[in-house]
Amino acid sequence: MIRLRNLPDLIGALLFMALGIIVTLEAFRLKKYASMAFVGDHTLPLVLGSVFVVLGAVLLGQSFHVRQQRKKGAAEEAFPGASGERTRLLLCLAALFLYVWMLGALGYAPATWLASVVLFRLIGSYQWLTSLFFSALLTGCLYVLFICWLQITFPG
Amino acid sequence: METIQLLMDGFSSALSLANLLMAAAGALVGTFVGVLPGLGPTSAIAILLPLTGVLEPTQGIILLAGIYYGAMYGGSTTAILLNIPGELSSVPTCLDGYPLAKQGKGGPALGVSALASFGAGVLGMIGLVFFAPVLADQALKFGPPEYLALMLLALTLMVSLSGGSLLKSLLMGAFGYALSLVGLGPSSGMPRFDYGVSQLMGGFDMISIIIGLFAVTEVLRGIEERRAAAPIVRTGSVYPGAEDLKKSAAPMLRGGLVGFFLGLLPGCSAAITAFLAYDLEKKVSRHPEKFGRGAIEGVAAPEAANNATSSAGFIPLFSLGVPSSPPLAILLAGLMIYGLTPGPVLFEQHASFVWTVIASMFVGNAMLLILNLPLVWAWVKLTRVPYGIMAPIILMFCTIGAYSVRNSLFDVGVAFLFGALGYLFHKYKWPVVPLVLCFILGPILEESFIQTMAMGAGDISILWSRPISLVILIAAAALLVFSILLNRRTNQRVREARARGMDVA
Repeated sequence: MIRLRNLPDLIGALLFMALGIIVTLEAFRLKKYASMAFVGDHTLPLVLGSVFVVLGAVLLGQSFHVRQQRKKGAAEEAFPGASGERTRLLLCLAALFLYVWMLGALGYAPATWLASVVLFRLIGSYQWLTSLFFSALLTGCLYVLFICWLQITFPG
Repeated sequence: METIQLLMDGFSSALSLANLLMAAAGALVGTFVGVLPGLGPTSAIAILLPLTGVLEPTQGIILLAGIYYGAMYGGSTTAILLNIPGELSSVPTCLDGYPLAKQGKGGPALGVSALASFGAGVLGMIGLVFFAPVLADQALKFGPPEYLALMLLALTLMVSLSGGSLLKSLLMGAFGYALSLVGLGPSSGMPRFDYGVSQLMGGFDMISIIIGLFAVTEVLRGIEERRAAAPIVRTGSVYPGAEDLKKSAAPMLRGGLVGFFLGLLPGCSAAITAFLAYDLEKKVSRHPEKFGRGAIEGVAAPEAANNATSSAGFIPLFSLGVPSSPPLAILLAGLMIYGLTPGPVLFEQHASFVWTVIASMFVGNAMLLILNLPLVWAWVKLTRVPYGIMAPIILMFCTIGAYSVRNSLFDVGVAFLFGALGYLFHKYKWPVVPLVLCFILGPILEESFIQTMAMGAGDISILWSRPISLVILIAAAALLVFSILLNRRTNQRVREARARGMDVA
C-alpha cells in the first residue's frame, strides 16, 4: 500500500514543480527577444524550468513509499518544535517585517528602538523596563557607529 | 624570483599600519565569530562585507580574509572546551579535544591546536604564493568555453555541499540559478521575472540573500531552540609541553599536507579534509585505541588540515574565480563588488592587491597565534553572553548589512524573507549552500554559455573540442565521483559524532 512518507518533501516537490511551470512560461515570453533560435535570455530559464519539473516529480515520487514493516522500537519522527516557541518565532518574524516598514515611515532611530524593545522582550523574555533599557543602549550605539561615524543614510 | 619580489612588495604594503590593523581586526572578529556557535565566518563575512565599503578594497579583503581563518581557530576553542564545534570542520577536534579538556589537559590541547593552525596556515600560504600565479598564468588561455567548463566543474561542488540529499541539493542549486535570472537579461537587456515590480528589475542582491540564509536563519533557529550558555571546563596553562609538541609534530605536518592538496580541489571543504586527516592519523598511529579518548594527535591533525584547506582555498579563488567553500563564495562576491574580477586578470591588473592580501594572511596567522592564546578565556567568556541579548544585536547588524549595499529597504525585506525561508530549509533538510553557490555563479555560467554558443555558431561541441575545456570537463567528471564518495564518508562520520551526543553547530 502506498502512503505518504514525508509531507514537507511533498509540499517542496509541488512548489518546485509550480516554479518550473512559472519559469518555463517566462522563458517562452523571452523567446521573442532572442537573436538566435536556441540561445538567448530564454535558454537558461527553459533548462531550469525543465529541471524543476523533472526533479520535482522525482522528489514527489520519493515522498510516497510502499508501506513497510516498521522496525521494532523505531520511533515516529516527532514534529519538531513546541507551539509556544513557534508562536515566538512567528512574532519575531512579524516584528522584523514591521521593522522594515517602520524604517521607511519613522526613520532609523525610532524604528530600531521600537523593534529592539520587542525583540529583547520576545527573545530574551526580559521585563519591559529592562528591554527598554537594552534597546535604548543598542540603538544609541548603532546610531553613533553607523549613522554618525560611517555615514550610512536611512530614509526619514 | 619575480614571485618572491612580488611577495616582498606585498609584505611592505601589508605591514603598513592600516593593513596591520585590518589583519588584527579580522583575526579577532574571526575568532569571536568562530567561538560563538551558530554565527560562522560565512554569516560574519556576509554581514560585514557591505560595511567594508568605507575601506579601500585591499583593507576590506584583508579584514574579511582574517575573519575566515580566524573563525577556524575560534571554532576549535569551543570544540575543545565545550564539545561544541563552531564549524563543521571542528567536529574531529571535539573527538579528542574535549576528552583532553575533561582530563584537565584542555590548555595543551588549545596550544597544540593553535600551533597546528599556524603551521598549516603558513604552509597553505606558501603553496598559495607558488601555485596561484602558475594557475593564473594558465588561466589566461581561458576563453568562454573554458569558463563554461569551469562553471560546470564548480557545479560538482553541489555534491560535497549537499549535506545528504543530492536531489534536494540539485533543486536548491537550480533555485539559486533561477534567483540569479531576476533582473535584466544579458543578451537582450529586457527585464526578466520582474512582473512589473520596479525593485525586481535590479535583481536580487546576493548579500541580502546570504545574510538572510545564514545570519537571520541562525538567529531564528536559536530562538526556537532557546539557546543558553553551556558549562565550561577549566584548562590551566595553554602552552603545551615538550612531550605534547613531540607527539604533535608529525601529525601537524601530515594534516597540513592533506589539507593543502585536497583543499586545492574546488568542493573539498575544510570539513572533509579535517575528517580525512583525523582518519589518516588514526590509521598510522601505533596506538589507535587512544583516539577518541584524548590523543593529542587527534587534535593536531584535523586542526592542521582545516587551516591548510582554508589557505589553499584562496588558490582557486584568486586564480580561477572558483570558490571552494561558502565563506570564499562570499569573498568572491566581495571581490566582484570592489570591481576586482577573480581569475587570471586579477594577477595581471591588480598584482599589488593580490600580493598584499597574501602577505597579510601570513601576518594575520602570526597575529592569531600571538593574540589568541593568552586571550582564550576572554573568548570562552563570550559564550556566556545570554542569547536574548546577542540575537537582537545580530539582527540589527543584519539590517544594516543588508541595507547598506544598495541603500534599499527592499533588500532588508529580502534578507528577512530569506531568513524565514532559510529556517524552513534547515528544518526540512534542504541544503542552502548550493543555492548560494549557484546564485553567485549563475550570471557567469549564463554569460559564458551564450558567448560559447556564439563562438561555435550554435554548436555546443566547441566545448569538448578545445583541449583545456576538455581537460576541465574530464576533471569535473572525476571530481563528481570523488565528491560523492567523500561526501558519503563525511556524512557517516558526522552521524557517528552526533550519535555520541555531540552538538554539531
